[in-house]
Amino acid sequence: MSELETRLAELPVEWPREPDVTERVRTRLEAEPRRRRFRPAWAVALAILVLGGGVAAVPQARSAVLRWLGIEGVRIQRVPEAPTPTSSALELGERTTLARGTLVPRALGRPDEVYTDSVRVTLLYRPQRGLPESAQSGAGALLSQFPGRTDERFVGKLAGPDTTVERVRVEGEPGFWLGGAPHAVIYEDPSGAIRESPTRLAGPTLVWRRGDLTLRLEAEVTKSRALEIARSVQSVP
Amino acid sequence: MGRPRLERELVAHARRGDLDAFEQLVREHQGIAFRTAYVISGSAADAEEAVQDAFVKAHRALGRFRTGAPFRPWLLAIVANEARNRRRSAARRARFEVHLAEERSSGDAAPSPEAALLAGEQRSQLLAAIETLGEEQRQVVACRHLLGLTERETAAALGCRPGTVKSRLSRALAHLEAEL
Repeated sequence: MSELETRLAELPVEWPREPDVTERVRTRLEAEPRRRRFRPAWAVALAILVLGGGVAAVPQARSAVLRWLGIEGVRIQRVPEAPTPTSSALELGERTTLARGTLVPRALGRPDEVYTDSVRVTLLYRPQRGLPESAQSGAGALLSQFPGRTDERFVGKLAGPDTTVERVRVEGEPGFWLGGAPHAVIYEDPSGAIRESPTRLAGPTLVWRRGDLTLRLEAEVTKSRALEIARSVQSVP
Repeated sequence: MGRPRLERELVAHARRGDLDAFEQLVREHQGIAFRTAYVISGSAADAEEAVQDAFVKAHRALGRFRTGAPFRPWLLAIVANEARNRRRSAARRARFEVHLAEERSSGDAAPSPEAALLAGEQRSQLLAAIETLGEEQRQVVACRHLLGLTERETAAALGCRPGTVKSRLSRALAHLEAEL
């Protein structure tokens, strides 16, 4: 340690008095409804790919960003090596019911489960004919929708060299198709800081705009089937 | 240091829904969590809220905590995110300021008035030099040397890589040396 560092360490800094939050935190935790974790039996077979150093693994992948492209609310980054996932858990928020105005693809019908967090609504379709179980998500299909304002948090996608990223159009609006090898999904806030969510791997995914919403469909389907599903969305009356 | 093992057990219990175990984690970490949030948000009120919310979120996220990993960097990353979010939404951009505690006379080994005056002046100079640092450098100096966080914890708090902490810190220290 240099002399300067010693002097810094010895500065008698006066911090604001630290509040005791234990009771308030406890009260809030006790008041929390039992969380419905998305962990149905059929999803247990998720690959456990917990490698790397927790939160730290993401910035490492980010450092290798070569370029990024995206549409509002989604940022796709090309990274030279396949990203390292830190979790296999889906983070969909709380279980809810299908609300009026939610976009549902006619091609898939009513979802089996609906989730929401502060920003997104996610429809979950269990594996079924035409929607094979995804090795990444355990679901047949996931369709998320969220306001795609650029000041909202980003869904970050890290695409390694074996993931193909293609620009597409869905009813005239821009989108991207991510095929090939699985890519990683992270959430980041507008400053680029990684939220607490760990990195998860995702299979083939289509992201596109529809009005002021951004939609994201993840399913083990071909690009043309994904586009068909995307074109079939309509809002719940 | 028996802490890591104990902490591991606490985390394991908390994960299984033991709120007492989680409460103990809160108790042990709330001090450093609050000061870290304060360094980032610049406001004690924001820091207090950030810490509360962060613990609630951390509790929800416990299932994703990697068993055996150190708890503090993981927690501080959550805390720091909450602090940054608050600061952003607050539109006002409070900058955290370093204040020095009143000099305590250290019992019978009290320094002479002259020595105390000299030490006080040196501290004021150091403080003034810290004030000239840019935000990022100030935060890295505060985390590493005022809060005594490890490099890894600092990286978690500032949302950057340990290598960035290192380079940012060495630039900050060089700047301080020059100012002094």
